[in-house]
Amino acid sequence: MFSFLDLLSLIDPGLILFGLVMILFGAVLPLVFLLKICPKIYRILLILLCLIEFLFIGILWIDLAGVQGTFYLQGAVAELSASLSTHRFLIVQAPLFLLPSSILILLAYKDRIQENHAKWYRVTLIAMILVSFVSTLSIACESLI
Amino acid sequence: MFKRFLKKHIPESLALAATFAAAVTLTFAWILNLLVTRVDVFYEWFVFSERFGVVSGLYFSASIIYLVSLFLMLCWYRNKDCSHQRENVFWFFLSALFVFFVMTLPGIFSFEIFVQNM
Repeated sequence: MFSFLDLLSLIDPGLILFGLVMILFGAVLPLVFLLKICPKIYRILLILLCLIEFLFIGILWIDLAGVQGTFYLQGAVAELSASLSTHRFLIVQAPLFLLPSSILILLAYKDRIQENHAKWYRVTLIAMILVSFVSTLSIACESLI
Repeated sequence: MFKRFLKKHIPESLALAATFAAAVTLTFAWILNLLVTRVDVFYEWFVFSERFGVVSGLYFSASIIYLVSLFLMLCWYRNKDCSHQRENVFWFFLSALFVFFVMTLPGIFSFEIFVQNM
C-alpha cells in the first residue's frame, strides 16, 4: 500500500507551479479584456501578473536545476525532443520579459488605462499577455514530446 | 470645477520605456541565441555556471539588457512629450515579437549553410 508520503513524493513541484500559472492565466485573460469597461480591476490584474512572474521564475529555477549536464550537449536525447527542449528554453524568455513590462504599463496608467489616449498601451498590454499565454501553452505542449 | 486641473499626472515615459525595453530585449535575445549556437567563442563566454550551462549566460545577459534599456529609455523620455511616439513604439514592439518567434523556431535554429568546395 502507498502511504501519504509516497504519494507526495510522486508530485512534481514544477508541474504544480505550471498548473498554477495556467489557472492564473485563465483569470488574467478575461480581466485584461474587461479593462476598458471596468478600469478598477487593474489592482487584481497587477497582483495576478506579479504572481505569474514569480511562479515563472520558480518554474525556470526548478527546471534548470533538474537539467543534467550542459544543456546544449545532451547527446542521449532524441533529435526532435532535443530541438523542442532547446526551443522551450528559448521561448520562455518571452513571458519572462513581457510580464514585467505589462506590470510597468499597468503601474504607470492604473485605472486611467481606459482613456482614449491610452489606446496603444491597452493594445500592447493585451498583446503582451496573449503572447505570454500562447508561449506558456506551447511550452506545455513541447514538454509532452 | 478644479477637478480637471487636479488630475494626477500619468508617467507615460515609464509605459513607453517598458514597451521599448521588452522589444529591445527580445531582439537581442534571438541574436544572442543564434550567436551562441553558431560561434564557439560566444558559447564559451556564455557559460557563467557549469551546472546550468550556456542558458545561465543567455538569461543573465538578457536580464541585464532589459534593465539597461529600461533605464536608458526612462532617462531619454523623462519630462518629454512622448505622445507622438506611442504608435511607433507599438509597431516596433510587434515586429520585434514576430521576428523573435520566427528566429527561435527549431527549423531556423538548426539551419546551417554548407559550402561545398568546387
